[in-house]
Amino acid sequence: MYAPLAMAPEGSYVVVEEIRAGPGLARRLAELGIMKGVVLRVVKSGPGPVIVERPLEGGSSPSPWRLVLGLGMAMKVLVRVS
Amino acid sequence: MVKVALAGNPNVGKSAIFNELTHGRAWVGNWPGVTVEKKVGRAKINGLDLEVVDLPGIYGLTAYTVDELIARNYIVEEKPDVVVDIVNASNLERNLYLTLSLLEMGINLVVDLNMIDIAESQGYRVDSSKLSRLLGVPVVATVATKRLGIDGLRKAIAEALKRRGEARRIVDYGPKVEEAVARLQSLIESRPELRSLYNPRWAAIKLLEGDQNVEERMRGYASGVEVVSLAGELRAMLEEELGVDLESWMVERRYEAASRIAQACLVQVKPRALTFTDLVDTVVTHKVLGIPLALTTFYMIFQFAFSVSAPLSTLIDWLFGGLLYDAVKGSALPELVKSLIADGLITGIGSILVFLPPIAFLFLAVSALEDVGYMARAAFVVDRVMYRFKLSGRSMIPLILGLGCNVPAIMAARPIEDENDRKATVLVAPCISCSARLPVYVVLAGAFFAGYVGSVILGMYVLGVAVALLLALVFRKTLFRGPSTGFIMELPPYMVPSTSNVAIKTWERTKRFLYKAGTVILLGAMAVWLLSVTGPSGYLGPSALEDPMLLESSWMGILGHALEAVFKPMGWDWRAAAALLFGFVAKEVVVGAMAIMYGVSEEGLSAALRSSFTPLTSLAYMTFVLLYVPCLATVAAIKGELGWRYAALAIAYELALAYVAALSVIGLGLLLGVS
Repeated sequence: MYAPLAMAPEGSYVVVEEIRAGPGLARRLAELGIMKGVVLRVVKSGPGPVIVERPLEGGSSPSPWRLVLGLGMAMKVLVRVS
Repeated sequence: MVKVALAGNPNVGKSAIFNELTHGRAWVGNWPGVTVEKKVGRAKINGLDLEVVDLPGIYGLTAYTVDELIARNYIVEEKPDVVVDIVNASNLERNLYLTLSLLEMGINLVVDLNMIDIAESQGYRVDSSKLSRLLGVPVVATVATKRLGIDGLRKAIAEALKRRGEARRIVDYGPKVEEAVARLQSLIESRPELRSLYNPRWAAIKLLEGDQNVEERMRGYASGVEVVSLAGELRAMLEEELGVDLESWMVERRYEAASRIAQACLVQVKPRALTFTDLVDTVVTHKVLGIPLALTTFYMIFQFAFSVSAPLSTLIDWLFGGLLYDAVKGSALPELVKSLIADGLITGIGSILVFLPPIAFLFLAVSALEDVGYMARAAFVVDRVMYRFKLSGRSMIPLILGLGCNVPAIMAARPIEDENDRKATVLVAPCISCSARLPVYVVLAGAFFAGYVGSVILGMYVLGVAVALLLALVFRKTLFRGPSTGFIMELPPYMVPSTSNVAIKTWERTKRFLYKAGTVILLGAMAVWLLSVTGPSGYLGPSALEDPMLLESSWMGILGHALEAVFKPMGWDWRAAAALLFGFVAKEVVVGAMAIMYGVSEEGLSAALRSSFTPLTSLAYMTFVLLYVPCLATVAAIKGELGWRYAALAIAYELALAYVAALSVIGLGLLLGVS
């Protein structure tokens, strides 16, 4: 059972499992680094928009980038809370 | 001329590099067929004249977004001699994704590793010589905001101009996909007419990804049709074998390569501690504190913009309305010419320039906050509210600028990715009460609601915002139906804003406002002047502007009388109606026009108004002024963004809305027993 990113608890680490979006949107998310298998930390959780970051542990970048995803977008990214 | 293009993600300091290279010798145009801005400048390197083009900020090279398509088409069609890819050193992985995409196109690339100071403050540095080796292209480190490394960049560009670009194979798509790429590539290379269209390997990759833009162009040739259909077959076969969507597969491989290179080139200098950004974000994006903090910030922006600029506005008003006006009126020119210059030209120019200082300071504050990184956070905070009205946090900046002037507000809607969101934002922006409407409220509220002036004015602003948001919801549920593609935005690390960057941004926005609003308002002012000094009986002479009796027989007076019937239920007389006509040029003109028509000075207006309005009808009048036809410049801005049809729609809906709203005020008042 995967939960939408919008529902993931604040401060949790999640693994992106599925992106339920058309090719355009999936591509846009991928360009920004959100794709299947990526580990994210939920900095601010919903309801409403969420902020996620690419944590040290999961990625190469020592400076974790931060992204805002609107609620609609965050509902389309399905994650597993790890 | 030698062409150099600048490419890069948003938030990498691209415009700062552009400004450094061109020293401000730049101009703004539009990319063909779209409203996206095209910035072009001139630079001189080693005595060679260069044309520098600032490509839109992009994350990749797909054909899905307008910006990416523009950048791609420019590279394919204009074939720039060198492309400088500006990479944010503090966000290497994501930025390298674009670098790899650019390298695949086989262009002559120079990588500018910018913002190395931010990376260092975060505890690490980038090994630029290793990066250069891995990418196979020159890498220069810069800090554009502090003007460091710009000479190195110039040198690298000069060196690169001596070379030609070549495609580099850095991303490995796996044996099966690579085999398909090679097959398509050799087929393309065997056809001279296709070979010259794109870099063959890039075209092969894009065809496998199912890129419609490349497919379309290929289909223009008989041999291309064959290539496209082979690509389709190969794609279906590979998707079957790999069990995934091929496009996602390619993106993931590319991202993997970017990740690998980023990892190899990053040297951790000190462990990452809780950064300043983390700390500030905890407060600024707080669920409870976020919104009041944002509101306070916006309030301070306005306080700053209006207080600081007030003396300047007064000065301009005195200069145009007093000094120049009197000078012309007192000159020995013929009466007609004097009136044309003083009442038409000077009054027209003055009415625009009076708004210049507050708007310029508003731009300054917004540009500085954007540079600091706060605006992205505010958009996050506000998104929660906007979402209920089917807009996103992206619509926030346009609506805020709208409080200053609706024209820049409409232009600021451009970066909204979702077309439906963008259109809805543009259409509702005129409902936000701009500073030009303020004088009308001040005069009417002052005359009828002494002691409650502030509350009445605040009420008008709140009403404007509420109407704008509700209308957005209505538009998104009717005209622009369909799901929003959603809102996704980077949160850049906080930075000290660079003075030159903020100054240039402010200047560009202000210039655009002046140009756009200036030309239209001036033409409108001239038209109003003409309609006031002429009538069915012919030329009335400029004294019509001073004599209410004479003005009544001008075209303007006749139009006002015609409108009186329309506004009968609201109880406004022909003078109030005619003033609304003047307001079409620019809403602040309404006050001056009323003064002319009541035959009093602006100071004596209160008394005159009290004899023809009641508190209730004045409230209805204010509501009408808030919502009725946006001024000419705003209509022109809407036309520029969405075309004539939507501009007409805006006029129509606003008139209807204003009428209904004003009538409701009257009805409500009567119901409550006030008059």
